[in-house]
Amino acid sequence: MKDILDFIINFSAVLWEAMPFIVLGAVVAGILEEFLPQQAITKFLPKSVVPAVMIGAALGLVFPMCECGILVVMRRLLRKGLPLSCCVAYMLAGPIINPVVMFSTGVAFWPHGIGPEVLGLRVGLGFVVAVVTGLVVHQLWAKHGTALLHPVALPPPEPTLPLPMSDAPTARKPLSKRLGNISATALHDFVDITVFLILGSVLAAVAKLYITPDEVQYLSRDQPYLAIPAMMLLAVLMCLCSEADAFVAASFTKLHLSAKTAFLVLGPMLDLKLLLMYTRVFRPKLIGVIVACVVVQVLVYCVAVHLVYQMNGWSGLPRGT
Amino acid sequence: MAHDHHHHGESARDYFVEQLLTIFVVGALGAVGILMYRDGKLGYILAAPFHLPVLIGGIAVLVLVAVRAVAVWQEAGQTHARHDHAHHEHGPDCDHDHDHGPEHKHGHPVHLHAHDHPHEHGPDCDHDHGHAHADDKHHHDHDHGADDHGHSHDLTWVFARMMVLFFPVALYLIGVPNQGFSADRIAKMLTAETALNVDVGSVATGEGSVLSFNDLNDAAYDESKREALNGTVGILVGRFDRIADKEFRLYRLKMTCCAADTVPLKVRILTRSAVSGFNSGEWVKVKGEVRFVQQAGSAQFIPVIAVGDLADVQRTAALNEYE
Repeated sequence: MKDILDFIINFSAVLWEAMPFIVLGAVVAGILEEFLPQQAITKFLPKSVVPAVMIGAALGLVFPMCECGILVVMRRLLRKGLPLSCCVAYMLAGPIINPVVMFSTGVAFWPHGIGPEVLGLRVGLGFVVAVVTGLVVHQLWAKHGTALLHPVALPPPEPTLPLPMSDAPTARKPLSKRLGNISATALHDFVDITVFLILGSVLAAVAKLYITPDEVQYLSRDQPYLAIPAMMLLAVLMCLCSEADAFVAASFTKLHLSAKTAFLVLGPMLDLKLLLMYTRVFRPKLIGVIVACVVVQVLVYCVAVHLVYQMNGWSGLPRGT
Repeated sequence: MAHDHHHHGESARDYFVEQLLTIFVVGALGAVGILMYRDGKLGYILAAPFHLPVLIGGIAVLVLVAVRAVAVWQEAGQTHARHDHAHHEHGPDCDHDHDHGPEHKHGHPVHLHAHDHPHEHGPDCDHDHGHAHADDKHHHDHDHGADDHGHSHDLTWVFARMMVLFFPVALYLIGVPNQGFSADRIAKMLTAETALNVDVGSVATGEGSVLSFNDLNDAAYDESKREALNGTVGILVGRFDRIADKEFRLYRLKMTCCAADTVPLKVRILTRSAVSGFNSGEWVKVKGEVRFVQQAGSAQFIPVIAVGDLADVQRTAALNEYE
């Protein structure tokens, strides 16, 4: 019984702390969906691959979606002709490089005195991982083309019907209609995200019953290079929303920053629920490539971060621990 | 042809069931956020700076739900009106065209799905999502999974999602969380520590100023703060946990953001003579000299309060669990 009550405290804590950020994200998503024409994005993409992929990785600043909602938007962009490499970069980096997630990451870690470090590393590494993966996918696309995509995600053939929603001039909508659309999108995103947030909070609360910060701290101190893959595995299993995961990572107060970064960078890119959702867009071959690229990069970069901290004698721990 | 769905009969019913369930459950979730703020239950799970955002979030959710409810109400009215128009009785002389061709217009508006549009679709959704097929042979030749449209009208999936969403509402209805972590959980957080076995010696006396666990633990990692506090007389209130006859620790819990990140803040108390009569977890006030003792084999210091007179160790009223 005590364990159940402790579980409920942990569960409620993670859920209700994240809730305001989910609501904010859903409302922002609703407003963008209503007022920003999707076609406008493609017009600003450069012709060459690297800058285009880099812009794709930064699209989250314009379309702030977390990983659950971003897949739907990304598939739409893919169907509208945005290159696969840009879409993958957006899908991977968007849940990290967006104002809501950056704000929540800062808020989670600011009291620990390492807010700027964690935020910088999360955004920086997230961007690099997404761009490199996007470029690898570009190479794969050149070789295999549409065979990499699920039929539902394929762009329509050239001579087919236009996409009237954004291409045709639309009549001016009354405010009530716009508000209705915004609330519909916002509620849809809210429900979608919150369902997975609740499931993730349950998993996180169960994990917290059996994993104490001290246990992970010992892992981090004695075998720091095990702490990084351990946190990566935790990120995959916990299925946390990117708007909430910073608060979970911050709760591991005695864990080295490199392991927290691994958790924060990998989690929004890869977890159990995302793997299932990817199958609605990509063929298994492409999923395998994306997973391998992301996992290897996060591991390598975070070990490098750990070494840099070690060489410079920086603690990599929250102030006061 | 364009891929058309008709919110017709069961489909329209499923759509409105989904919308009503969403409005009800999400509205309940928003209301719970507001009620938890009002009842003070957020104090068990969240740090104070996060209480107001939960209240604002709850209000925002209720506003969204209210706007959505009005929109669904209007959609229902429009659908009903069109349904009445479209499903009139057909007499033998009825000669108008129902257009049961590829675009299949039957009184209800044609509903074209993109399979990836992230917002909800009303039964009179008037835009094309561009799910186009070159010819009618492709009509409905692909599978429709639960996530095909970025949303689903499959009621099994809808009910499953709503049950998950209702879980925190159900917890609130049965009245939990209504306390902090259990004693067992706190004991697990505290972890065993060995006695320092340091001679107390002479102890400074005086009125003393009230100390916080946070300041003392911060100072342990900061030389200038250690120098400022070392040797001063301070008063500390916390919960009792025995280590040895002449040594115990006081602790309080610290919640940075939420209960999931709770950590115990500990300060070691050293006395000249054996301390007795205090139970584990009891709230105790201690007055003594602040010191910082370097741990054996480590560069780390731990904060210590040396007590000269056992009269300076007293039971006291409980404070908030979290500092």
